[in-house]
Parts: sequence; C-alpha cells; structure tokens
Amino acid sequence: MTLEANVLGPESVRSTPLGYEIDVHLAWYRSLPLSCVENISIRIADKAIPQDDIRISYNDKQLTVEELADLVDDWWFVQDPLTIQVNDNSPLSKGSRTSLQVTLDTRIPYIIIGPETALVKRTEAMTEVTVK
Amino acid sequence: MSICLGVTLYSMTNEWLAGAYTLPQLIDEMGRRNLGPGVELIGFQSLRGFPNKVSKEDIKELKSAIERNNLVLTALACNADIALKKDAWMSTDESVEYMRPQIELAGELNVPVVRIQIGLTPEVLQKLEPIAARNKVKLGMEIHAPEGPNTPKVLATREAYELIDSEYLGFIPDFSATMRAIPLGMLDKLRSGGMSEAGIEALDRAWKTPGVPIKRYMDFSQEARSLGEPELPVVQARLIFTMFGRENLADWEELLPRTVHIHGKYYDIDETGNSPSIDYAGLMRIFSTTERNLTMSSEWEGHAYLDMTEQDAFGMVEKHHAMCRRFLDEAFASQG
Repeated sequence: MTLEANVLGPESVRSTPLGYEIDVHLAWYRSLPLSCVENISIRIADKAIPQDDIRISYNDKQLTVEELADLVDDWWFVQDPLTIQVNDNSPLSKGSRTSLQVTLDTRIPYIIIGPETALVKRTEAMTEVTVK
Repeated sequence: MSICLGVTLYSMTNEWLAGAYTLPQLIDEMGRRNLGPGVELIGFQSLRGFPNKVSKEDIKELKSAIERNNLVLTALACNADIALKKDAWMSTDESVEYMRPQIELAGELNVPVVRIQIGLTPEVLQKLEPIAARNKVKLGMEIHAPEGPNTPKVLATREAYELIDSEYLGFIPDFSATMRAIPLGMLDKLRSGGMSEAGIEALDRAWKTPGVPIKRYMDFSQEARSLGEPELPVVQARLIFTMFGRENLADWEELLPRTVHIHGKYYDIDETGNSPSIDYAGLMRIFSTTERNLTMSSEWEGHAYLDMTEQDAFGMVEKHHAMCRRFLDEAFASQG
C-alpha cells in the first residue's frame, strides 16, 4: 500500500565510520511526535540489527527508541526523513547492493480502538538499496 | 441555500508525501486547475511546526498563495491526539490546552471552521466553546466511518450540543459513514495480494451484514481462514470495516441544522460520472435542502490503496466536482 511505499527510498542508506545511516519516512499522512514511535527494527545485509546498535538522530542528539517515549513536543514532520544511525562492525562497503528491511510501529494518538487502547500501526518496508 | 465546492489538500496526500510540491505550489496547482474556491488543510500534514511553531514566513506564503489564486480557506483540520503519551492519556484540561493553539491559529488564518474529532468529550467541548467563540471559529466534529449520525458517541455529542447550545459547535458529515459498496480499487488490491473470488465474496457479505465492525471483521477472517486465504490480504481487509461505514444515509438529514462544513469523501468515479461506492445523488438531495450556506471539500481517499503513478489526484477532484455540480443542479431544480 502507498504509505508503506513511501518509507524507504532507493538511496536511503549511507556508509559511516561506525556502520550505516538510514533515512526512514513516516508511514502516515500527517506528522507525529517522536513519543508515538514505539519500535524501529532494522535488517540489513541479512543481519538483524540489535536494538543496542540503533540510535535516532534528532536535533544533534543520538537517542534510543526507549528515549523517544517522553518526546511529545518533538515532531517528525511528514515530509522529512528520520535519520537512524546503525552500528555495525563489518558493514558493507560503499556501492554494495543489499536488501534493507525496516519495521516501524507508530501509535496513532487519535485513533482509539478500545478501552485505553490507541491504534499502533505496524509498517514493514523492504527494498533493495545501494550503499552510498 | 447553497453548497460551495472546494478541496481538502488531504486528497493530494501521495503527491505531498513524495515531496512533489511545496504548500504554495500545491495551492497554485489547485488554482490553475480550477479546483476551488474552497481550500481545506490538515494542520499536522501541511504546516511544519503546527500549531505553536509555524513560521511567520510559512503563514505569509500560505495566505498569499490563497489570495493570488482567488481561493478561500474553508476549514483547518485539527487533531485531538489524546494518546500522545503511551501510558498517560490527556486529561480534560490537557485536551483543552492541546486544542487551544490549533483553534487560535485557525482564527489567525481567518478560517471559519476547525475540524475536531470524536475523541473530544462533552466536558472538553464545553471548555473549548468560549475559545472558539473568541476566535470566531466554528468547531465541526467530523462524523466519519465507522461512526454515523446515530451511533452512541455521536449521540452523546448531539446531547452535549443541545445543552451547550452554541452556534460555534457543529458537525462535519463525512460520507465515508454511509457507503453502499466497497470501492472496487480496494478489492483489486486484495486480489493482487492473493485473495480469491470466494474470499472477496465472503468479505463483501460480512461488510454488508449489520453489526459492530470488529465483530463483522472477525466473522470474515474466520471464514477466510477456512477458505485458505493468504494472511496478508485478510489482515489488510480489516481497515475496510472501519474506513467504509454502513450507517443509514437518510439519517444525515437530522444533522443538517448543525452542519458547519462537509467532507465529500469518495474513492471512485466511473465512466458515467457516478461514484459506485457512495450514493452521491442521494447525498446531494439531502444536503441541498440545507438552510445554510455550506462549504464542501472534495476528499479523495483512493490514495489509501493507489500509488501516485496509478491515479492523478487532481484529475479525481475535477471529476468529483463535475459529479457534485450535476447532482446539486438536479436537486435544486427539483425543489423549484
């Protein structure tokens, strides 16, 4: 479906001294605060990246997914990518082709589906990328 | 009285997410293709920093794009977002303070209507009414599938409105609440995901059966399992029961006196210029009897299952305007 198609672009992965930098777009039609991001899982080059090796870059800070929970005033604008730092000791070199899979769980804070339960939208995006 | 047409920029969600347009460019394209005069936007979609930190420059550019295209802002869609924090939902006062800057920005933009959502309780509405009145903005609660004019949450709001009795509180009917068929494009997506014709038939039957949406979906998913349908399209079909409502179309009539704006929701328009999934002839007959001057935004939501390359959203709005004009002309003519 189209919101999923928007999550990863063909040039979304860049090589860094520590591993990779990955640009991820929101799979929703409007901006959401970072507090609504409940999970980000990444699989690249056939490796599932442990949560300890994932950091979200935001306003010059490097945050774990857990640290996003309180950020109700920090917004992920719907047209902007969120940049994710991935630590990897043996990353693919620039120019390599690989598959990238990102699972994104976002709470939709106004769609209430049951008593004290808001909709959590799971998006699984997968694409072939060239490491830049 | 009259119904003035326009468009919500939500119709161009695919184009917006792809970054194909800036906000002024999107409005210029609307003007160029004569899709006005009304323009509605979703604050949290179209405006960076909404509602507290929108730059003066962005507001200036928005106003000037509207002006140079001879358009008019008809509604600002706002969100209640009560579950911003996972484990501590907003209290009544927190909800009021969350809505306040959204309503104030609507006032600053001279937008006459703010779209509010069903999550707002009667207590919150009571406290928002003076803020709306001060900013000369009408709050319109959107009645969207799976709710309808007479579902319990809407009835509670109707009662609260009777008690508060203010011209600043009203409704925005969204035609997703009263649909007659599942859009064919949605069914085609499920087919391409592997759902068989027997699965499609079971889905259609469950959707048309009266009852609570989640129960109808569970009945369908059970039948789909026994038919051996693949999991993904069965999971995707869940949104059919919440996006496409089966409430009674004639019930909109009861809400006419409190209608402040209309969401002309639609998905498909066939070669004869009709919408197979939504009875626009019937809807325009009802809404043409309004005693107010109303605005209606064309709200194409086919982007929920069609990519930008599969359907041009601007073209869909042109077709929708032509269809609505035809049915409105017929309805007004029959009233003499």
